[in-house]
Amino acid sequence: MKKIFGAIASFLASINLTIILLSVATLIFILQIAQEKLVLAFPSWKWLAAIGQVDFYHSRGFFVLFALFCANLVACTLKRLPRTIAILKSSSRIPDDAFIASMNGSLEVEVDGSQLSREKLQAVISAHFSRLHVIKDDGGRLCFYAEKGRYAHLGFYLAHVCILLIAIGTILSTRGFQYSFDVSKGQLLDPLVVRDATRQEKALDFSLQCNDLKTVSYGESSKLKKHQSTLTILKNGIAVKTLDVDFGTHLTYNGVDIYQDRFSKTINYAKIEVRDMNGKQQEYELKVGESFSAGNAGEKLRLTRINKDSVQLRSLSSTASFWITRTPAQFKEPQLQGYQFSLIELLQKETTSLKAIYDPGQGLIWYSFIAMITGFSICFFLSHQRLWVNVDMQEGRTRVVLAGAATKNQNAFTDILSNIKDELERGLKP
Amino acid sequence: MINTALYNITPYFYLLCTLFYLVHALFKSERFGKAATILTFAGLLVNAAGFIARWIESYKVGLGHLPIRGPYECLTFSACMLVLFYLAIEFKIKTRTFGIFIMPIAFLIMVYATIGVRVAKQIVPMPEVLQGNYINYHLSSCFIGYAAFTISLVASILYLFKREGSSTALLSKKTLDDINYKMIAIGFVMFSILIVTGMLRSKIIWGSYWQWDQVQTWSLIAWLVYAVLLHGRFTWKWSGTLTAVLSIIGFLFSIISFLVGAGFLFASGHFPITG
Repeated sequence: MKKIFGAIASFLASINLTIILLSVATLIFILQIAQEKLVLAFPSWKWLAAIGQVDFYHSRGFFVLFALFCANLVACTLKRLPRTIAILKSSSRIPDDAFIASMNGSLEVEVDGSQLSREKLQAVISAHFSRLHVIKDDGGRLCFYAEKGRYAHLGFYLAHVCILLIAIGTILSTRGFQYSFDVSKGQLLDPLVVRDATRQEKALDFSLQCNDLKTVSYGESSKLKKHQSTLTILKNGIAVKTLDVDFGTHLTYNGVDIYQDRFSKTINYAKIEVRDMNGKQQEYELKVGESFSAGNAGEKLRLTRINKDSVQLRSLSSTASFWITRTPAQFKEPQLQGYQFSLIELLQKETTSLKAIYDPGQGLIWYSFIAMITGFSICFFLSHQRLWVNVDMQEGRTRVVLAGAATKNQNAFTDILSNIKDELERGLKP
Repeated sequence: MINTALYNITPYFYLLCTLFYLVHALFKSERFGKAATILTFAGLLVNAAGFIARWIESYKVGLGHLPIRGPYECLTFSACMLVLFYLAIEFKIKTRTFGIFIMPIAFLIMVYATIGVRVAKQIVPMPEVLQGNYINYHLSSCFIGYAAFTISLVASILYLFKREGSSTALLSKKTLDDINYKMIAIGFVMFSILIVTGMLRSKIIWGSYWQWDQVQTWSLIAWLVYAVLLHGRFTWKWSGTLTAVLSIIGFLFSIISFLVGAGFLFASGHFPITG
C-alpha cells in the first residue's frame, strides 16, 4: 500500500508530468482552434474535423487534465519543500572536502598570515554578501558562512501557490452572479433585484437610484466618449453612496459592483391600470418582459408586447394572453376574468444599462495575481548565493578556501568569487 | 503634430545605428561602435519623446489616453521597447555586435509605422469598452512582452546558425543562450500580466474570466510553450538548441495571438487592439 502511494506521489510530483501536461494542453488547444483551417488545408485528414465537433473545454477530458495539473502543482511544491529547508539550514554546516567539491564554484587563495586578520577577511566578504556569520573558530581553523538572496526560494512557492489560488478564485466566482438591467432617469429600484447563477431572483439588501444619465462626447465633437450614470445606493431609505459610474469607474457596495454597461437606449413603457372585483385600483409602469401581480388574488401577468396604441399581457399561470387598447375598443376584447384593465399611456424613457456583479473570487484572483507576478520575478531574477569560507592558519601561511553555490546566474557568482580572491591577493584592499 | 515629426525622425537614427554597428563589426572600429551606441540612445530618446508628445497631444485634442492604440501607436511603442531592451543588453554584456541584428528590426518597424499605407497616424478615441486603467496594463505589458520575445527570437536564430568555433566577435553561443533566457523570463512575466489583466476585464465585459476566445487561447498556448521551456531550464538545465527551438515556437504562437488580436487572421470576439 505504502509502495503504491509512494509511486502515485512520485508520479504526481514529477517534472516529466508537468512538461507532458503542458505540452498535451498546448497541442489540444492548437488543434481545437486551428482544426477548421487545418481541415481546409489538409482535406484528407478527416479526424481533424471530428476534433472540431468536441467541445473539449467543457468536457471531462479537460477537467481531468486540469485536475492533474493542479495535483502536479501541489505535489511538486510539497516535494521541493524539504530540499528548500535543507538549503536554508545548511548555513551551519562545516564544509569538508566532499562538500566543497559538490559546490558549483570553489577557489583557493594562499596569503601571508601576518597580513590577514579576521576583521579584514569579514570586511571583504561582507562587501559582496548581506549576511555573514562564523560557524567555527578554534584558533587554527576559522569557518564563515555568508549568503545573499535567501528569499529567492520564495519565488517558486509564491508562483505555484498563486496559480492554484487563481484557479480557486475562478471556481469561487461561479458562486457569484452577473446581472444586466436597465434603469431610467430618476427610477428607484427598491430593493435591487438580481438573478443569481441559477437564474433565481434575489433581492439585495440595498436600493439603487439613477439620479442622472448622460452620454459624454469628446470635446466639441459628436464622437461618443462614454455613457455615464449618476447612481446612489440607499440603505433603509438613506443615501449611503453616490458616484458617477462609467465603463472605467464602478460603484461597490457590500461586495456588489455596479458597472456601466455599453449601451443606453430609449425604452417604451406602458402605464396600466388594473381594477379588481372589489373595485380596488392599482397602477403599474412596465416595459416588455416585466411581470406584476394583479390585485390581491395575485394573478401574475407579464407585459409581452407594446404596439402603437395597445399592449399585450400574458397570464403566467394559464399562458392566456389578451390585448389592452388605449382608444375605446370597437369590440369587447376578452380579458382576464375578475379584472378590468385599461391602458393609461405609453411612455418613452431614456434608460441606462447597468451590470451588477458579485464575484466572491475576485479579491483572491487580484491578490494572487500580484503575488504570482512577484513570485515569477523573484524566481527569474533573484538568486540565492551561498558561500563558505574555510581559513586554515599554519606556519605563518594562511590558506583560504572559498566554496559556494548560486541558484541562478552562475557566471555572476563565479565573478564574485574571483573578485574576492583578487581582493585577498591584493593584500586585502577592497 | 510634434509626435509624428519625432516619430518620422526616429527611423533615420535607427538606420544610421545599423550602419554604424555594421562598420564597427566589419572593420573592428571602436569609434564607430561608440557612435552607434550614442546614436541608438539618441534614437531611443527621440522615439520616447514622440511617445510622450503623443500622450500630451492626445489630451490637448480632448481624447487623453496612453498612446498604445491602433497600428501606429502599437508599432512605435514596440520599437521603443525593443531598442530599450537592446541597450540594456549592450550595457550588460558589453558587446555591440547584437545591434547589427536588432537595430534593423527597430528600423523596419518604424519605417512601416511612418510610411505604411494601412497605418493611420491620427489620434483616435479609445472605444468605451477599452477605457479604464486595465487596458493600459494589458496593452503595455503586451508590447513590452513582444519586444522581449523578439529579442529572444533573434538570439535563438543566431544561436542555431552559429557554428562551434566560429568568430567570437559575433557573440558566443553561451551569451546568446543567456540573452534568450533572460528575455523569455521578462516576456513571460509580461505575458502573465497580459493574460490575467485580460481575464479580469473579460469578466466585466463578457461575464466570465475565460472565453476560450482565439486571442486568449493563442496567448495561453504561447505562455504554455514558454512555461515548458522555463521548467525544462530550471529543472533539467535545458539550454542551447532545444531552448532556441522552443523559443522560436513560442514566438510563432505569440505572434499568431497578436495577428488574431489585431484582426489580421481568424475572426475573434476579442476587441481588435489595432481597430
